[in-house]
Formats: sequence, structure tokens, C-alpha cells
Amino acid sequence: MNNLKIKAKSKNGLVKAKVQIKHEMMTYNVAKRKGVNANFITYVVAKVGERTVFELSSSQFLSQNPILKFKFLAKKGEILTITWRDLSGDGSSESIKIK
Amino acid sequence: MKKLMILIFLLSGFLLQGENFRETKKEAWSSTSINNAMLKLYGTSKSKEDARIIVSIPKIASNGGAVPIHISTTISAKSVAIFTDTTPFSLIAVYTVYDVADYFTKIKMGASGMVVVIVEGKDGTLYSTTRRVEVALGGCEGGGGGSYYTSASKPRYNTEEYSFVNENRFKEVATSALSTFSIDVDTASYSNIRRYLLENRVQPPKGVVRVEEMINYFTYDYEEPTTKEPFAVHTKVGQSMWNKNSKLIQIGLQTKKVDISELPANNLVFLLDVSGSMYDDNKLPLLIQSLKLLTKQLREKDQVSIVVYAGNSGLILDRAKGNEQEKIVKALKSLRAGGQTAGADGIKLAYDVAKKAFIEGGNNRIVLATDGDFNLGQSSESALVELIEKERKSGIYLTVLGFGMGNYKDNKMELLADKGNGNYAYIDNLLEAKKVLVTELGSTLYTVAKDVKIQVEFNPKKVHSYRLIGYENRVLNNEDFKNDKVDAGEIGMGHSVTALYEVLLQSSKNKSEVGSLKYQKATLIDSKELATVKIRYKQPNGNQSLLMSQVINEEDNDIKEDDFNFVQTIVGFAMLLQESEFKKDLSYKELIELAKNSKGKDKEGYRAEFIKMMEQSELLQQK
Repeated sequence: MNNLKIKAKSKNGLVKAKVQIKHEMMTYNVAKRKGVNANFITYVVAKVGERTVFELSSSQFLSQNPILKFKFLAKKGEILTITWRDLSGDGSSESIKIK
Repeated sequence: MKKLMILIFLLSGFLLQGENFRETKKEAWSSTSINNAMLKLYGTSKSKEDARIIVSIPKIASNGGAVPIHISTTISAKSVAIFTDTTPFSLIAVYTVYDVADYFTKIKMGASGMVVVIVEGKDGTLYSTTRRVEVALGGCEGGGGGSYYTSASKPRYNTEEYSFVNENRFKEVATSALSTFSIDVDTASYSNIRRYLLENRVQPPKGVVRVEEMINYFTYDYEEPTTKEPFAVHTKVGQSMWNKNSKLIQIGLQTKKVDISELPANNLVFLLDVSGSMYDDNKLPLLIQSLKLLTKQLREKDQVSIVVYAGNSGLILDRAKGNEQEKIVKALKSLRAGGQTAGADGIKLAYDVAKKAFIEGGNNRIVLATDGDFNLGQSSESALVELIEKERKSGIYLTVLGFGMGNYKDNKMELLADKGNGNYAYIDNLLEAKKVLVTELGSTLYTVAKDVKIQVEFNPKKVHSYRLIGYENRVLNNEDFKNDKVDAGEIGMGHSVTALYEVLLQSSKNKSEVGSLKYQKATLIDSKELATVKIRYKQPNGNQSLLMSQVINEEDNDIKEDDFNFVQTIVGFAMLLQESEFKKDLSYKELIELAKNSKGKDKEGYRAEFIKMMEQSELLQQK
């Protein structure tokens, strides 16, 4: 899917990850004005294998196409999986190999 | 060894059950204050400030839609959460902490205000860090340069519990007998709050509540001046409704009302935003209707030019006479929304046109109508303020009319009008357009005194302490009162301005004792006066300030009872919206009752509407 961009690089066991999710993050106020339903990312989770390394519960007040940067412990070559969902129940999941 | 560590991490991954706080703590996400959101999320709103939380966030953010924030901490933590008091709901995000607590994201901010980061320690203790962000026009992002706000408006931090109100506090007369501020005749805050409550049906964010703008939205039955001074000063001292120990001093300034036909010639340049963002019904179409109302009142000696900006800015009507109605209306009707906003070029062009058409002794004014959605680079933003400040000196004023905007451009608009010696009104419907552009056209367009500053000296023998209600952003240093270089607010024809102090008299109970001074003994003059109010102002074309002064006595009763009581209900409502610490046990019920009883004639129905707003707010609160 092209709505999710992930970069993750490990240095001495510490991974710096950058994730951008393409999402309009429509607030209730804007939605009301435009006559559409509000919709925004509510939950993002990152796992290395079965191990959760990052977890975010979010509101309508993250910026559009939110950027998330975070750090965790993992080695080069391990698989990082990002999964997100939004208010409408939509979402996606994508895995990359940690560089 | 390494393998063992990985094993531990794997295990801890299994042991730590993830938590989706949107599901486990639903109510936290619909809380409209930081305190409430914290209560719902953690069960308590008590937290300790802790320097181990590193938060990096700009002090001034040009775009409230994406304010970058980076948080890290060495505290052994369960979770990290972000709150702000500038959005309809206060909780922004919660991170569950796993390996390392180090997070970056961008958040939305509805207005200038607080961002609070709470770190929940593994032991259950809450640690906090608070930052204030000005979401406004700023020359430099992330600090380094000056902020547009005086130290008086900086937030107060209360370590007991969070309190995010920037209210002025009580000051003891023994140590600071002087209170100095600039007047403010803006009303945008009020119409903005009305839009939140009556249209969007949500509580307004605290950041939009400016009590002085709410008070000054209404007209009061103040007597007009009878001398040649530009305004009459009226005072009243009475009991406050929320604290039986405190009194209120109301100070009202009223300028002379003059018939429009007697006014000097107008050189008006309408500077209109026709960019794509103005497409909505409550923007460009409302703007066109509003300006039609205004032009109907113009006379032959007036001149109107129209400059539009969107992509390319351009002059679409050059100096039509005030009575050439058809020509003006035709030009207005030709407007279509579309394209990107190029605000700076538009403003420059408008000033050029205004200079060319300058009427000596007339009212030379740019009327900027926009939703405030300027696409300007940082450098051009500060250049814009500089330009407006420069042109102010050449005698061209700036009136800003806000239309159907999302709230976060509010500050920018207020700042522009402020720098341009002008005023700022927010027009949300045709009725409001009529109020600003027909009923109160004189006060919207004609300045009768500029740089109006008020200084009140309290008598320590009678008054123990005082608190200026509102005007937080307008507080001046005491020495600025006499300094004619310090800019202050303007007052228009027929306008009234009201200021209020809550005071504790020496005779009242429950006042905290002042620690007596060790090195000086005050010799008090035997006087029964409560205070003296001094006003400095300049004539519209003058550079030197003139002084007026008047004594305030306890029995002053220069203001009608209804007006005094109605103003109290406005202050009370603002205190409830801001969750002020001074509100005591004040309830909506008392406010609504008093407002109903003090409605007076209310010919235009504005006070009735205010009561409706309070009722709506009460309902929302109960939800």
C-alpha cells in the first residue's frame, strides 16, 4: 500500500524509525462544515516479530498525514511491522526489514 | 549475553499487554478541559513538574495545523500523553512506553495556548511539563526573537493542580497601587464563541475567550460626553455576584455619537480575499452582501476602491464615488472565489491605492476582509507587520473583517488590526454584518481617539487588593502610560469601552494579610476615595497624548443597575468557560436568571442571544 511510508535504521541495537501515514485526519468541526463524516487515525502499533515496540492511541488533533518518529531496541535485519486503523475501521499494515 | 537480552525483550513484549486508550478510556477523548481529560485518563489530575521530561516545541508556530513536538524522558514510564487547551477536546495522543520513551509528531492547535505533556511513571506518579505556544504571526519560529506578548500575559503555573487560565491575579495595593492597560474595542472573541456554541454546538476552546471583547460587544446606556473631550467617563461600585467579600468597579468610556452624514469624507479601499478558501457560503457571498450594506450608506464625497487578492492581486475598482452605487455593486458581484492567497502583495497594493486616493483630513482606511488564510513565508509575515506599522504613521488605518474562518487564524487577524491602528470584527452572519457595518458603522470606521491608555491608582487606605478582569494581552508597564511612543488601542465614534476591577476593600473579610514591609513605612493620606482613573489619549491626527482624570468613590453610581448586572453575567460566563479560579460557586442558573432580569430594552435582541448561548453552554456541560 502506498499510504504508509516506513524507514527504520538500527545503530548499536537502537532503532530510529520514521513513519508517515497518508490520512486527511478530518476533525469533527471540518467534517461538519463539509457535510462529511469525521475520520482520523485512532491507533498505531509497531511490532518486531510478536514484540510490541511502539503503541499510540491518537485523536483528531494530529496533523494531516501524520509523521511519527520513535526509537526502540532491535537489530539490523529484523522485521518491523506497522499497523494503523482509523475511526471508520479502515487501516493497513506493512512490514519492512530494519536497515 | 546479547541473546539473553533479546530473550528478555521478547518476554517483556509478551508480558506487556498493549492498551488502546481509545477503547479503555473513552471518556478522556471527549473531555473539554485538561483537568477533566487527566481525571478520565488517570483518575487524578494531580501531577508534579519534572525536569526529566524534555519537550521541544516552537514558542511561536505560524501554522496551527501542524505544530511539531518532540518528547523524550529518562523517567521509567508506563505512558506519555499530550494535552492542549486550544482544541475542542483536550487529549491529543497517548503513547504506551516500551523500550525507549522518545517520540516526535505534529499536532493541531486551535489557538495560542498550553501544551501539557504528562509522563505516567511505572510507580503510578504523574510527571508533567507545560509549554505555551503562540499560534500567531511571528517573525521567527522556535524562539530566539521576541514574542508579541508582554510578560503580563504569560501563564501562571500552579503546582498543586493544573490551571491553564492566563487570568490577571489579585494584586495588593500596598505593593502595587498602579494598574495600567490599553483599551480594546475588538469584539471578535464574542462572535467566535457564539459560533462555537450556537452553530457548532461545542464548548469553545478556552483560548478564544477574551472577556473584555465579550463585554465590549454590547452597547450600554452610558451618557455621551458633554465637554469637548472625546469621551465621558462613568463609574460604578457595586457588590460582585460571585464573591460576597468582593466589590466590582465598573469603568465605562463613551464617545460621542454623530450622524454619519456629518462625518468627514471616506477614502475606503476594500481589500478582499477571493482565494479558494473563501468559497463557502459564509465567506465570499456573505462578504459581498455585507459590503453592499456598507456602500448603501456612503455619500458623494466618499471614495471606494476595491483590491482583490488571490494568486495575482489586482485593482478591480479605482476610486468610485460613494453615490455610484451601481458601479460598486457591479464590481462586487463580479467577484469569484478561486486560487491561492497572496496576501502580502494585496496589502501592499491596497496601501498604494489608499495613498494615491488620500483625502487630507478624511477617513483613510483599508478594509481587509478575509478568512485569514494567508500563504506567506516567514520573512514576508514579519515584513507585512512592518509595512502595516509604517503605513499607520502615514494616517492610513486598517479595519479587519473576519469571515467564516477556522479559529486558528484569529490571532493573526487581531495582530494585523492591532498593528494597523485599526479594529477587528468577526462576521458570522448577515445580522452581524448589519451590526458592524450599519448600526455601528461610525465606530467601525471612524477613530475619535487613538492610543487610549487607562491607569488606575488605588488608595491603599480603602482598597486592599484588586484584579483587572480581562485585558490580559493589553496590560502595559506603569511607565508606558506616559510614554507616547507606546502604542495602545483606538476608540471609534459612538463606541463605548468597559473595564472592570474586582476589589477587596480594607473593610472586607477574608483578605489575605500582606506581609508588612520591613524597610519602609507607608504614610497613608486620609482620603475616602477608592481610586483615581487617569486616561491618556491622542487626537486621531495628533502625536502628543492628552490626559483626563476622574476620582472613583465607593458610592459612585453613574451606570445603570441593569448594565452593571448584565456585565457581571458576561464576566461570570467567561469565568465558567475558562474554569477560572475566581468563580467560586457561580452557577449557570444564577447567571441566566440575573441576565434575564437585567436584559433591559434589548432592542436588537443581542442580550437575549447571549442568554441563549449560556443556556446552550449549560446543556453541553451536562452532557
